Amino acid sequence: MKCLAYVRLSFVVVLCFGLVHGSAWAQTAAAEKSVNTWLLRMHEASGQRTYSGTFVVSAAGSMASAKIWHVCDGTQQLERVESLSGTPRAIFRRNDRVITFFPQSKVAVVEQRESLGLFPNLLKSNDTDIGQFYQLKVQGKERVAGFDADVLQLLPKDNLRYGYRIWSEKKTGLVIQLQTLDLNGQVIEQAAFSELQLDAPVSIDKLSQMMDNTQGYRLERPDLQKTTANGLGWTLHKVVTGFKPVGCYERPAVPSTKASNAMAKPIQWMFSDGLATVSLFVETFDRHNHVREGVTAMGGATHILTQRMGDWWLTVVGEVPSSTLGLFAQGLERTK
Amino acid sequence: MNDAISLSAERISALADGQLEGDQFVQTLTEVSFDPDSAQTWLAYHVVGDVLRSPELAPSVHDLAFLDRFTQRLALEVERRPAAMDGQVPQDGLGSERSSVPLVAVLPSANQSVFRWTTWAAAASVVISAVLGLGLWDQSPNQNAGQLSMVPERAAQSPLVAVDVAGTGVMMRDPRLDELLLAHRQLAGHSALQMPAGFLRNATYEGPTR
Repeated sequence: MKCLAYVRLSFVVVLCFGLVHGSAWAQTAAAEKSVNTWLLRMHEASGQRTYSGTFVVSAAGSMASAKIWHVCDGTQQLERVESLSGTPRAIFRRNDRVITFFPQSKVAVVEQRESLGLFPNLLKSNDTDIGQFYQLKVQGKERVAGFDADVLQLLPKDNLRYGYRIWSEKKTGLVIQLQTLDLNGQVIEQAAFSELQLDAPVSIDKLSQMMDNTQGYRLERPDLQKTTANGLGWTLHKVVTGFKPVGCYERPAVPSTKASNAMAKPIQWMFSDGLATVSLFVETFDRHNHVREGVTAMGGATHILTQRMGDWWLTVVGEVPSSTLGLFAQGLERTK
Repeated sequence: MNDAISLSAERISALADGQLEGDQFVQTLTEVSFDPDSAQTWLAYHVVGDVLRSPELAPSVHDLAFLDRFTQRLALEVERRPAAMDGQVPQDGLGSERSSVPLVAVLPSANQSVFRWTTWAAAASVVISAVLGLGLWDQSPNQNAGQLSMVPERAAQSPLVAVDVAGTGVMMRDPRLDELLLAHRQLAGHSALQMPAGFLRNATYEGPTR
């Protein structure tokens, strides 16, 4: 009789645990879906709407602005970004192809940015773990650049990443303001449309002609080769929670101060948690050029960590707290 | 007598305007240096000239008494210098020794904008700071040659340096770090917020003001 009571009690405990566990799982799944739904809506807004405006970024006490023209026709997106501060430059984007014109030096840099096309599919497939590392809070509504916007917060669940506050235009979902928040919730970077005209009369043909007109410019293409870190003898023996490898490139070798030194090609190994990105650069150690180890705060959310690792020199760059960069440096291991 | 005074005043005027040369320059300079009346005239011409050129100087009042006080304090400074160099003056400059030192060198003089040499001194100090800051002071010619020859090589190898060529003024920072930072911004936009905010952020924002 006593035995039967134990069995019943165990069954109830297991059932309760199962219910609690199932409920927690369901909540996480719902939160993930919710985060992904919001992010997908924001992402798709830029693929469905035509707009023009002025975009302003402020970080570390400095401010930069640019004029924006954006147009799409269902199959392709075209964008023109004309800088109003800093080096004069015009950046044109057609889907994931980007050309940056520098009118002073008459140089045009042509790039294929694969990362630009990645996210819609990832968000749709629910493969991303964004909701696992960021907590979504819908904060209400505010008016920005003349538009009503939903205000959302994506707060980190640990101290390995920064938080974000996002103003998403109510009707279209377009992100019209974005703040990066440090671990104390203070704003460290802000990007926003100071002026925005939705459904502006932007001509896709005109933008297309401007982008393709490279006459008088010297075209340069980054000499990058896709590779794998493991194939080159690198691994992360300790994974930084939430960050997944998203690509690896071999970059052109940097000439050494001593010509006799054979320098291996530096690699750029990239990681992302869905919102923040980290680049891990590994190159041959050169005692003439690699002298300063430590963290450099670039202002705003960006940090750089440089560190020697035997015969190698690591440079870790990312819009994350500097301690997170340290974990990447500590986790790297040579397998060859 | 009046003619002599008038002639002397003309020469002093020419001296103040920087038009004298050779013997006349030496003679007039000597006169201004040793004759209080000539010095007064020279000062008056300077004040008139400065007021004509810069209306904001009009309220300034200068006289020989100031020059006298300045000379006395300067003499005192010269006498005190050996003591200061012996370390008798507190390093932080807050001790009692400092309080008895005339404030000639501490307070901005009322005639600061009249003496143009202060501008030149400031410019010279900026140039020296820039030279030291760039680490060019102690470098041998060979080292310089090595450094200069590296930049075009890198520029030739990586188009990313084109930004530097375009004149962002990155000379005070490590160009290699700038290059990697740029590479990160260009390639590592693996963020769900990349479209449109992340891309626009990276396209708009070059980095902190240099």
